[in-house]
Amino acid sequence: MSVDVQITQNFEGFDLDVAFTCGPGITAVFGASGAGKSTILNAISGTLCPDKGRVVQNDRVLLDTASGINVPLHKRRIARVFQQARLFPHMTVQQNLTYGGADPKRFEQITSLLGIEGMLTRKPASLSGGEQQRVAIGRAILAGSELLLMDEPLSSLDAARKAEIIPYFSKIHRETHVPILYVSHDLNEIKQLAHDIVLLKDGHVQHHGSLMDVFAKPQLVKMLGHGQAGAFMTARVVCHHPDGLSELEASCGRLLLPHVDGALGSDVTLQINVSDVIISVDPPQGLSALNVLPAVITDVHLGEGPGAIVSLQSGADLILARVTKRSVSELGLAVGQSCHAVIKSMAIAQGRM
Amino acid sequence: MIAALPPEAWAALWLSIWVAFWATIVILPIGVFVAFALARWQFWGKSVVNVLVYLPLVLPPVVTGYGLLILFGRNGPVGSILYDLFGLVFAFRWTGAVLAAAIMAFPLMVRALRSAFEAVNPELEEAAGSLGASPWRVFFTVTLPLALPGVVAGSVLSFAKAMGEFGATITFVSNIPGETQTIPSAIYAFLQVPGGEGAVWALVVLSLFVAFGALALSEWLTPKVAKRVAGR
Repeated sequence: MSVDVQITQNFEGFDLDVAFTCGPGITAVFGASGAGKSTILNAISGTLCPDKGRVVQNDRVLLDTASGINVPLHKRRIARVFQQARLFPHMTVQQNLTYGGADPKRFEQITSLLGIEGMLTRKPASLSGGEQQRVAIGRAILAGSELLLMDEPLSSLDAARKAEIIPYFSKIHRETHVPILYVSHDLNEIKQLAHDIVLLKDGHVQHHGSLMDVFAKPQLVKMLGHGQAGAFMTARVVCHHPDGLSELEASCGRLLLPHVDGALGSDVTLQINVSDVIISVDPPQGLSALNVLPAVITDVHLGEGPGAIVSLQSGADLILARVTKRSVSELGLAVGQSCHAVIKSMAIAQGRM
Repeated sequence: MIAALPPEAWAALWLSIWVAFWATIVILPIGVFVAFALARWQFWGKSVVNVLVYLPLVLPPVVTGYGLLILFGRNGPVGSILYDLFGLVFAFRWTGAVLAAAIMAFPLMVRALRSAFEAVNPELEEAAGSLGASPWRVFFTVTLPLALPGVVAGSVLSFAKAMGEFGATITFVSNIPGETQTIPSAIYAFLQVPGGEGAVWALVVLSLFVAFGALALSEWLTPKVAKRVAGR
């Protein structure tokens, strides 16, 4: 299962020129508004024919401007979930869900997966925003598509509704194996969902790689933003202490975190934000921080401003730390040097548990 | 008063309803097509089509009637072809009254339908397409059902307009009792003869009944349809 995308489109004062392959799993396309996300989705779904482009899904050519192939929207078998649910207001939830065709077996599976089996006879107007969006997602999946396009499906919902829906995406993917192209300008969503990320900037692909890979690249920290950047690692829950802390085992050693929702022995994905790491050359003493990991410096990336991103190898894991250039020179931080990483806090990526 | 109505007055009533019914039935599908094209498509000559559709609204009805006579008369360019091919005659027949009423009501039908189609969110049509529905299926399952209030409004308006059409009808098909004499032409005819006021009043009352009936039907139907479309 893969989709090759290649699109060139000239707008006034803006050129879009992208090429990437979307593999199985959830591929996120991240970029600020105006980076060209919608144009890419429109070209893939078939509502826009770009100046030049090629979209091939598992050897099926959907668009090839060079040879004049442009399969119409309704024959592409690519369903799309929009920012607004776009349910048909004159139909019941059931009629909406089966509009694109649905075999009864999958219908039961998907409706119970999305928790919408109890609202089948209702009309969309009587549903909450989150419920409507769940129905819209179900409708897209049940259409039997070979690719799902998610066009900022959570952007019109409040934080509580977002948290309500996010776990469904991973479930959907696990149970249906339909590749999902997930477009968003919200890294919080992407961190919880995506396997791969396509970073888009000013109409060009800045970087394309796995989530772990993208968040471990020092040169991408600036684009992701300091509040969001930081490497991921996987850890196993080994103990829940009576004082409310959970103990996790990672390749770099034992970590203590405020209570983690996870059974003993289960794996969780952690992110350590670049701003939550302090580098200490000598073993630190008398610190309130609980997690101090021995590490070796593998890269020092000096940015344009006063900051620098230091890559630290700790066990098999990578940690990124944001320090000032002045600290780099005063401490003499250099590749190959041993040091200690003091971790102030860690975030659990809930959707990935 | 109504019981004493001369038989040609009853004939005029039934003919009016008959003519208005057929005029509405005929222009509904054509109106749907033209209104949809005007609302959704960009095509060459769109403004010409627009002007042609709305022309009967601004032209003196007598001029429209005369134009129909020229075009659809037995020896007219269109009339002669239709006669040769289908044996269809319009001039001085009830079919001609239907044609005149249809032409005069058409702009109202298109206007109501066009604004109804324009009010349907194209994003819903796009969503339907992405679910694999062909443009035809999208039209009949999404666009048309959502434009249904406009269909009701357009049909009622057209029926009322067709019931009251006078100028184009009398010019095109004259005023033949039992064949082309509708209520307005009957009222006109009775006004011309001494002692005809009684029949005139009876016809006025009858047309009021029909008008109220049509309005009541539309008032009853419109909220039902609107409710269905809004999904509440």
